[in-house]
Amino acid sequence: MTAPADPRLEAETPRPQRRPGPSVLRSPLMVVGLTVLGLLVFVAVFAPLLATHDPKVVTGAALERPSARHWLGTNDSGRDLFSQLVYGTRVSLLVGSVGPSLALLGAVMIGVLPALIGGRVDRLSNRFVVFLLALPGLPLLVLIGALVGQNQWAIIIVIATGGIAPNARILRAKALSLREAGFISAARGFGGGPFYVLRRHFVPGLGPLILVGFVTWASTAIALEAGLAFLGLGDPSGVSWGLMLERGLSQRSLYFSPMWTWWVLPPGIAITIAVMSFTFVGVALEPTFNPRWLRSS
Amino acid sequence: MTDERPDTPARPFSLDRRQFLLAALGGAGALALGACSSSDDSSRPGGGSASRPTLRLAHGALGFPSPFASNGGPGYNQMILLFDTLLWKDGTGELLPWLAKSHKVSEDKLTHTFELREGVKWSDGRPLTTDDVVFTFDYYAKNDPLSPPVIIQPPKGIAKVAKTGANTVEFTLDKPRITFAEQVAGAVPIIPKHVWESIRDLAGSLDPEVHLVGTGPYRLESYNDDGGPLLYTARDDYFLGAPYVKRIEMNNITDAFSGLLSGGSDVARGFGLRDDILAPFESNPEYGKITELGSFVTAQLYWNLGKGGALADPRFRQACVMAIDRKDLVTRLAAGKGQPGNPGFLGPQNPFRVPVRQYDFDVAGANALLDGAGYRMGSNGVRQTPDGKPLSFELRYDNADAVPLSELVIPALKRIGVEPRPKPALIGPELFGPKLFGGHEMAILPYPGPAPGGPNADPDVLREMFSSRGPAVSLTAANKYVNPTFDDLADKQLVTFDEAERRAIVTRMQQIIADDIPLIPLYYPESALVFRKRVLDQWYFTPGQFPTSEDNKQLFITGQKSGTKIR
Repeated sequence: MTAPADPRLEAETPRPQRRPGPSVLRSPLMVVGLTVLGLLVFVAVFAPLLATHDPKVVTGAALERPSARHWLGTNDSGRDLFSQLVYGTRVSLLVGSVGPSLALLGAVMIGVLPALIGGRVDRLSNRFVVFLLALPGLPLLVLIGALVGQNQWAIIIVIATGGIAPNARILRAKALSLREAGFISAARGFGGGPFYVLRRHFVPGLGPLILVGFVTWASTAIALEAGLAFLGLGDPSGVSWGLMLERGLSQRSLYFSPMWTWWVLPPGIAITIAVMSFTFVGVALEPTFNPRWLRSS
Repeated sequence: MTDERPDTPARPFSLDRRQFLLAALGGAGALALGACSSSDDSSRPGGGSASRPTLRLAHGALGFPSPFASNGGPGYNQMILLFDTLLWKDGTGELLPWLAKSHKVSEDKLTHTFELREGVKWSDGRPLTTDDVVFTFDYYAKNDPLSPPVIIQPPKGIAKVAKTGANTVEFTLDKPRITFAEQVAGAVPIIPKHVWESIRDLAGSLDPEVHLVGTGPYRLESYNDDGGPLLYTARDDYFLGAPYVKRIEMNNITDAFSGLLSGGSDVARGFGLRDDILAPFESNPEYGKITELGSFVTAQLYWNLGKGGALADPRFRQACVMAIDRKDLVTRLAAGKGQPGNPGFLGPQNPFRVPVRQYDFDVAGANALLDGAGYRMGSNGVRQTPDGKPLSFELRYDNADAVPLSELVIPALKRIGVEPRPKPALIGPELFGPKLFGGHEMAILPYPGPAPGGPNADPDVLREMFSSRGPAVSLTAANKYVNPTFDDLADKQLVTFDEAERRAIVTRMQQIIADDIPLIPLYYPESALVFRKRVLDQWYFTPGQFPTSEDNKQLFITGQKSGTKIR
């Protein structure tokens, strides 16, 4: 037996969340984004096979021009730039995956869970999120980066910290609307336990938003990593696109020589490509999952 | 000579758009300052009728240009344009009469008597008196040493300064000091008693109208905080006559060589410059170039001997030096322009430098030395001391300029079983704190002073760098190096006025340093200074690099390399 339909409940029940159908996966942006991401993952995984040299070992003269031995020449100590570009993919993808994952985890902790608990806890955590949002983003990240020191994991933590508040706000709003939704009340009324409700309704309801948040913050994270490294907050003994940029651009009178074309341009292009690939995926997902798009449609 | 305005000189090559934009950006601030310039001054109260140039330099303010708030070497240069010393060094190295018209030294070398010039006036119009000179040295003596990078510190070794006549001042020293004339009389700026006698907060005295009253050849017309542009105009009532350079504009230009090409500055300088940077200037007769080896930016590898163990063992340090290919450092990091570091410390152009043990690049020899000293190779490729401690040390270096150097030094040390643990740090307390207070194990640091001059300076720099009787806290000196023989020699050379005898002492000091190797200068890059000849054509590096290097006000005042006669 089914419960009679209540018009009020019907009106309050949000539109069922769409799932990414074949049309989303076939959109040109998604195809291009995923293809490029796949290529980047391939390069990152097989970096030891693709790189021509150890990127952390001096293998040539300083400031060599591109040649058959050093495809993108060498840096000022004699390290191979092509190999640094290849290994730099690992850092960007690591930062672009772990940073947003931690950010979303944090967003769930201070956005979703308090919303489900409700009451004072929710109010307090919401105030905290608003406080975080009011802080100036990039200067704060630079300050934290300078304080926590120069290593890759510190940068990841910094980037994750920056992503918590904006994602928490969106996820909290969605969690609040789900909590009050009629079908959730109905499910509870029919004896659905907390874990059942969480698994059947909250996870499918929040999951797509988390996915969009992840993708969006991944592109931001890659650009931020490069930016922080460029500002001298990266680990100078590491290998990343941002560090390549920073080191190349710090060469005295760089533009007296054409070396910027093989030292500065390639990591710049690589960062652009990586950021755009995540952005393409995010843009392709948005019409399906972003609440604003859903409302307007 | 005509006044140099920002007209773009003919060049044998063309700038592409990117180069042009970069250069134009760099020069924009300087051009903005230039736009405010007055026209040529063709009437010279104190000299001939030729018009006087405006000089544009590619760096902004380094601190507030008072004796107590200016930073480092370039900051001193900016300050000393406003103040004067009793003596001043020119491009030949001669100490010229400056505020003092004569300088006499007693036979026992303990008393220095200076007779002041008459008619010298402070920039507020009051006359300079002997009271000002006495007050200056009393005032410095009463105040605590200022923290680096302020380089003028209370002069040491002065027992008494007294006025002995209407125009004469007498300095009595604790003991003779051969460096007194150069490093005290020729470096310490005389300050006005009527301004400073009531001031206690030295570093906080930052009012340009009050705290920059000096006798110097220039007035500061514009100051916009640390790092901002500076504008100086000549004092035509200067006691030597109206200075040759009428106006000096200083503005931060990120790339000084692009600024020089674009007309935004008149001088650019750098170390170990690539050929492509110098090429446009070397092929154009409008530009001149001077070079020097061994100026003060030499990077050095420090061991903290105070930590004991292998760090205090000279054989360990000698092996480290042998493992580092210092010629390769010159090739890679200084575009082949420079010289390997000298274990005897003194620079390539120091007249006191003698050949000492050099520790040529020899990895096998370094390994043999460590084997012989009982440092056994461990299974992990890291050697151990006889009591089982690994030769693994934290290596601090700055996370910008020293990174390429660290990428060469660290693998070199690993090849002999020494494991440096990289600790890059931002330039500032994180980097310098441990070095100052002995918390580091190893460090690569540039040579920023405050020891006078650098490797090409008066050999007393050896005492400053290596004597255990020097200051306990030093950014640049060797850490906890104690050799009583060396210390005795260091003290003796300071009171030895016979040049041959002093040279023999300094030779022995260099040999001891080369054997004990408390630190190693890694390489000396060639310093190059490129200038627009039409503005100033007699640039020089001041011999001994003290109290200034290339921006010597004697050149700006006279337009010539030597003497006080204005061109």
